[in-house]
Amino acid sequence: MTLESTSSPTYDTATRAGSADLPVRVEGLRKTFYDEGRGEVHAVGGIDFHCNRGEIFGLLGANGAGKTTTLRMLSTILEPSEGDVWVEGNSVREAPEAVRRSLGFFSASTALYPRLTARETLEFFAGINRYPADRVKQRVGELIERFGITAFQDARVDKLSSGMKQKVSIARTLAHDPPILIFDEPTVGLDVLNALALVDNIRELRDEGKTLLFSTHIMSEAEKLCDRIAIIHGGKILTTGTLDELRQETGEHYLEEIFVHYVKDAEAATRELLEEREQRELEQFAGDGK
Amino acid sequence: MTQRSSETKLRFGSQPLRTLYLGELRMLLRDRRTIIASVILPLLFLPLVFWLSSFAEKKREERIETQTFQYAVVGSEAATVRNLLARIGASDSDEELSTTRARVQLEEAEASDLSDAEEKLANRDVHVIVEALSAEEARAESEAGEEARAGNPEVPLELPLFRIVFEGDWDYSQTAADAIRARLYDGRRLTREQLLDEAGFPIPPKEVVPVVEARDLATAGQRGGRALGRFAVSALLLFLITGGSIVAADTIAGEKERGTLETLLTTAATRTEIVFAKLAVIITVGLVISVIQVLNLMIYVGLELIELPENFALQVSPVSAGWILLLMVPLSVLVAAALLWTSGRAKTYKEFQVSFFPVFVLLLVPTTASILPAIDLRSAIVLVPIANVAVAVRELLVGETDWLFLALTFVVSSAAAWQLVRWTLSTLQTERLVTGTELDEAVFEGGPGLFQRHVIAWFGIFWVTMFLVSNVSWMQDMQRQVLFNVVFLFGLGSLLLAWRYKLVPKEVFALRAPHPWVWPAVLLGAPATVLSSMAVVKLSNYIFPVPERLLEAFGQQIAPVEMPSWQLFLLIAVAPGICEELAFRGALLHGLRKRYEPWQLVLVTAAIFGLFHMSLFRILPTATLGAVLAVVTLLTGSIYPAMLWHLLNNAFAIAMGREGVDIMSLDPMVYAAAGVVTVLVFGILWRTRRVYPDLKGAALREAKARSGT
Repeated sequence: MTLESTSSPTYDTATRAGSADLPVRVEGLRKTFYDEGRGEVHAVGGIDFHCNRGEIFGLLGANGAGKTTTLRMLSTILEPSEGDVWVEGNSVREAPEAVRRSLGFFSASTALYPRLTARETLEFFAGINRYPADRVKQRVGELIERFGITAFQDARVDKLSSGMKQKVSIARTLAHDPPILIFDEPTVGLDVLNALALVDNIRELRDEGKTLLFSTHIMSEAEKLCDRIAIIHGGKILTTGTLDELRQETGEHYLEEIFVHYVKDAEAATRELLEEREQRELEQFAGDGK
Repeated sequence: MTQRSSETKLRFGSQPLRTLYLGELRMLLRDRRTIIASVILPLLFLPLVFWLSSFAEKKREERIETQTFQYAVVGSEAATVRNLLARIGASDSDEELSTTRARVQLEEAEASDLSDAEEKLANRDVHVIVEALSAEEARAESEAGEEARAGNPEVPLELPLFRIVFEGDWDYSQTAADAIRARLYDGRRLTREQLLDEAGFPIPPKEVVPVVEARDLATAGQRGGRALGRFAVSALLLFLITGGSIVAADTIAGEKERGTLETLLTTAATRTEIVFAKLAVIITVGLVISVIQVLNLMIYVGLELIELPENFALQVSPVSAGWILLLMVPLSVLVAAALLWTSGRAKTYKEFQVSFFPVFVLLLVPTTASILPAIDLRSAIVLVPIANVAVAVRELLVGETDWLFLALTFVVSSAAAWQLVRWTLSTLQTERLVTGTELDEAVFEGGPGLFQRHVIAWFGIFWVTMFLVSNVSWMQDMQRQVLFNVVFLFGLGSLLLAWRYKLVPKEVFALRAPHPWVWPAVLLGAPATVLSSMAVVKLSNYIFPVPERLLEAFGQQIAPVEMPSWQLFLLIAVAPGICEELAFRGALLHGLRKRYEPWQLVLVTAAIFGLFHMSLFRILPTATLGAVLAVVTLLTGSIYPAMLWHLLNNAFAIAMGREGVDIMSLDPMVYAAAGVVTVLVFGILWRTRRVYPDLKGAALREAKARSGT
C-alpha cells in the first residue's frame, strides 16, 4: 500500500462538487525548510483538503506532523514551497492580504499587546483588519458584551488573568467578523475549565455559521468538536472524513484507535519505502564499485 | 527575498496604517521606562555635561589665577635662568604676555641639586624644574648619549641648555611647565634684542618687524555657520538615533519577544503598511526628541549655562533653511529605517542591543565628513549618504547654495533611505521570524542561486578594496595599479568567485562563439562608437550645458607615458579588455541577469562599471562604454566581442593620444560618418544576434513573440 492511496474517497467527491463556493481549498500544498543540521525538511509534503461552509474541520496529528506549518501557510505567515490555498476564492500566493481579511487566526503564539486595554485591543484589531471605521465602536461593544469583558474592559491586558486574556484573545480573533476562523492548538496551556469554555466558544461560532479550522493532538477534543477530521502524519494527510466514515473504514470505534490504525499503516509504508530506497542505493553503490 | 506583489502596494493614510501608528504611539506613551530613558534622561544629561565642562573650565581659570606655582632652578647656569625670568618680571606690560600662560604666578622654590628637585617634584612640593646646563655639560651629556641623538645631529652643542622637567600626568605640573617655557622664550627674545642693541644695532625691533594683523573677510554669520555646520548634523543624528532606537528596539524585536508579531502578521495589514507605520513612529519620536533637545539647548544658552563663542551669529536665508529641512527628510527616514532594519534582524531585545552599536557607529561616522576641512560637496562625497548631507548642511549654513549638488545629495540620500526601507520590508518576510531555520533554498544549496544574491556585495568589496589600495602611496605607480586592480582584483577575483560558487566558467563568463559577422562589426564599431558618443555629448551641450570637465572627460585620451608602445598596449588595452570584461560583462552581468529586465541590466551593470572609475567626471563616460559593452554581450551571447571592443576602445584612445589628435574637435563629417557606421554595426549585431541565455522575462517574451506571429 502506498501513502497516496490511503486518502479517503470523500475528498474527491467533495472537490468536484461546487468547489467554487468552498471557504477553504488546499491543493498540492508543500513546505520545505532548509536547516544546516537536518538538511532538507519536508514539513508538509503535498496535501489536499477543503472545508465546507459552516463546519468544524479538524486537523488531527501528533506534534511535528505538520499541522502548524499547514495553518501558517493558510494564514499567509509562511509562503508555500509548492501548491496553493484558496480562502474565500483568494489565493494565499496572489492575494495574501484579502486572505487574511477573511480569516481570524488564533494560536498559542498569537499574544496580545500588554500595554493596551481590553477595549483598545479590540478596536485596534478591528481597525487594522479594515473593519468599516464607523461601525468599529458598535462591533467592539457587542464583542465585549458577548464574551463577558465588560467588567475589565478598561484594564490593561498585562493586568488580566489568563482566563480573561483568553476571552479578549478570542474576541480579538473575531474583531473584524471574519467568515473563517483558524484555531491552531488553541487549548494548549489552558487549564481544564478554560479549555472547556473555549470548546464551547468554538461550537457556538460554528452554530452562527462560521467555518472553523481547528488543529489538535488531543483525541477527545477532536471527537467532541469536529464535523470532519483529517488525520495528518509526517506532513501527509492519511485520511479525511466524518467520525462515522472513519469508523466504518477502519472498523474501530474510538478516535484514538482509528488514529493509530492509520498512523501504523503509514509508518509501515514509510518503512517499506525507506527500505526500498536503501536497497536501491546499496545496489547502486555495489554497481559503482565494479 | 521575494515580496509578494500585492504586499508592496501602499495607500498612505489607510485604515491599518493609521490604526497601527496611533496604537504604537499610545503603547509607547504608556511605557514609563522608555519615556524616562529616551526623553527625560537625555534632557537632563546634556545640560549636565555642558554645565560640568563649563564648571571645570571656570575652576581651571580660578586655579590659575589663585595658585602660585613653585619652580626649582638647578644646574651650573641657574643664575642665567634666574636672570632671564627676572627680566620678564620687569617688563610685565609686554603685550605678548597677556595670555593665560602669562597670568600664571610663578615662585621659585629652594632645591640643592637635580636629584633633590626631582624628589620634591615627586612629592609634589615643586611643580616644575628648570635644569640649566652649561655648553660643556650639554656637550658631555650629548656625547654620552650619542646614539640617542643620532637622529637630530644639527642641535648646536656650543650653547647652554635649559631643560624643563615636569610630570605630564599631573596637570598642575603641565600648566607650570607651559608657563615657564613661554617665559624662557620671551626672556630669550628680550636678551637677543638687548644684545643686538649693544652690538651697535640700536633699532627697537618693533620698528623693523612689521605688525601682522589678520582681517577676516567672512561675516560673523559665515563663521557662526561654519562652527555650527561642523557638528550640526552629527548632533541631530545623535538625537534622532538615541530617540528612535528605544522605539525601534521595542517595535519588531520587542514584538517578537512578546509574541505579538504573529498576531500582527495575521491581520489584514500589509507588510508595507506595518513597516511604514513603524517607520513613522520612529521618525515621530526621533523628531520630537530632537526638537525638545534643540529647544532645551537654546534654553540653557539663554540661561548662560552654555556659553556661545564671542560674536556668534547665524545668517541663514529662507532658501538655505528650506534646503536644510528638505535634506532632513531622507536623513531621518534613513536613520529610522536603519534602526528598524536592525530591529527586524534581531529576534530579541538582546540581539538588537548587540547589533545596535555597530549600526550607531556606521550612521555617525559619515557625519564627521563635515569636520574635515578639505571636503566640499562638489566631490565624490556627494555619493556617500549621510556624509553628503553633513557637508551640504555645513555649506548651506555658510551660505553656499549649489543646487545641482544639493539635488544630487537629496537623490542619493533618498535612494539610500529607500533601499534600507526595502531591506526592512524583507526582514518582515516571515519565514525567518516564525521558524527556527534561518536558511532558505538558495543559501542551503549554495552555488549559482546564492551567487546571484551575493554578486553586488562582492562588487562592493571590490570597490572598497580598490578605493583603499588607491590611497596607498606605493600604489600610485600606474603599472602597479593596473596590475593590482585589473589583473588581480577583477581578473583573479572573478575567477575566484566562479570557483567559490561552483559556477560553470562557460556560462558565467559567456565563453561562446559569436556569429562570424560579429568580428568585422566590432572592428568598425569600437572606434566609431567612441566618436559618435563624443558627438552626442557635443550636441547635447547645445540643448543644456554640460559641465566643461565632463566634456573633457569624454574626450580624454591616455596621456603619453614614458613607456614603449607595446607595453602601454598590454597594460591599457589588453589587460582591461580581458580582465574587466571577465568581471563586469562576465560575473556581474551573469549574476544579475535574472534580477533585472535586459534594459535595466544594461543600465545597472553600466552604472556599477562607471562607479569603479573613481573620478567623479569619469563616471559618465565609463558608464556609457559599460552600457555599450553590455549591449554587445547581450546581443552576441558571448564575452569575446566585448573583450575585443574594450581592447580596441582603449587602444584607440592610446593611439589618438600618441598622435596628438583631439577627438573633441574633428571635422563634423567624421562624426557623421562615425554615426552611420555605429548604426550599421549595431544593425549587424542585431541581425546576427545570439541572445544571452536565461535573461529575466525571456520565456515571457518568447511566448509573446510566438503568439504575435
